Amino acid sequence: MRKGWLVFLLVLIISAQLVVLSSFRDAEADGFVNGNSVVAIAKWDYVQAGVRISVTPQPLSVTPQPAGESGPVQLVFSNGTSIGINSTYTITLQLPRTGDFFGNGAISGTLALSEDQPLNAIVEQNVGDVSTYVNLLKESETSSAIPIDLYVLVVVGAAQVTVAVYGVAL
Amino acid sequence: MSEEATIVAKVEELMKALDQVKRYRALSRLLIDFALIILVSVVLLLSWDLAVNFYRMQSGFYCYYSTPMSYTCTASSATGSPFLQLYAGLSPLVISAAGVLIGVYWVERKLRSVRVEEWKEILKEGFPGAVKLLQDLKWDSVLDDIRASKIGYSVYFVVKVTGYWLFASILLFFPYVLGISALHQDVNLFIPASLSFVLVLVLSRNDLQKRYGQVVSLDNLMWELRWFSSEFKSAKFEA
Repeated sequence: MRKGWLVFLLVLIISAQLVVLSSFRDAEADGFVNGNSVVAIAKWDYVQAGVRISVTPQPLSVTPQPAGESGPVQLVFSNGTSIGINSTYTITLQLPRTGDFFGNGAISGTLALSEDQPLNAIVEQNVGDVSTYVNLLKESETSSAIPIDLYVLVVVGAAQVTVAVYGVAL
Repeated sequence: MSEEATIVAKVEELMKALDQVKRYRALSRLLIDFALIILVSVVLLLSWDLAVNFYRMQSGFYCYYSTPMSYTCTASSATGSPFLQLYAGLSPLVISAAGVLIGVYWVERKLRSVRVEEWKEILKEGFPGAVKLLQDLKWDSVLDDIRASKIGYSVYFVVKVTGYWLFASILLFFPYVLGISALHQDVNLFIPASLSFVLVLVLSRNDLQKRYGQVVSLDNLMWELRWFSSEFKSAKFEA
């Protein structure tokens, strides 16, 4: 009888493991950016995610072009600090789980989120006024019933940007 | 051959069949051990997969098979420990193979330790020994054992085939992914799973026929014993 309970316990563990495994989601975005560009990552608050952003400055699009020179590209982080880069710069971020939500929801728009896509990323180039664009993003995200976490990175200059997000929605 | 010698021969045949039933009965009891071992290997396999997923989430690196045997979770420019990559690459194969093989080994070992042919000494006494053996038999429990062993044997075969199927699926997965990548086609897990199922059925067809024959013979034995037990109970023997 004790073995029977052990089988039951193992089946429960396997079921829980399968639930967690099926809750992993990924999102990717990349593109060549120029001017004032925005990299944005959105997720439902109950999602925990790891983000890897890679920014490679591209040769200056000026004439005459300086031989072999790239950048400079400036990165402005969401807390307001900024750095200038001349070579590939990789950022690894952890976006923690910030809340609980029981139920489902969905939002459409630039950064669409849903039950099947609980995290998303975009690379939007040459947005003009960054603060207006970011405010628009935030407004669309606040219309959701489920709280949303938004992370924004501003890239100023010509660069190749790659974003990979991998998270678990539990 | 005298009538008494015929009866002794028949009883010997019966006792051999009952020894077989004893083994099958033990097998049906061991089934839960086998299931436990398989379930533990599944838990380990899923834990490994979860660990890779969490590592990927923490590190931000994409995890992939850089070669069919080497699993890596680092950027292509950085290289992790080759031993660790090899270990991670082989883990699904090793864990599933170990689960099935340990399970089968455990069951086979326990079955070998089942005590049989304990009746041989008594049967050496001839006809009186044969009658004594028949009188000592607990018919109701014998019939129950046959019924339980029939079910246990069938379930054991199904679980064993499922275990081999899991192992073969993982084994076939690597050459399949390598081949399909070379052809620039999408990976469809249904294909190696179906292929391995057919392969396991083909390879175990002799075993399948043997098990089927044994289940049928157990069925026949049960009917014969039912008849015999009622005849035996109504008859009177003098040893």
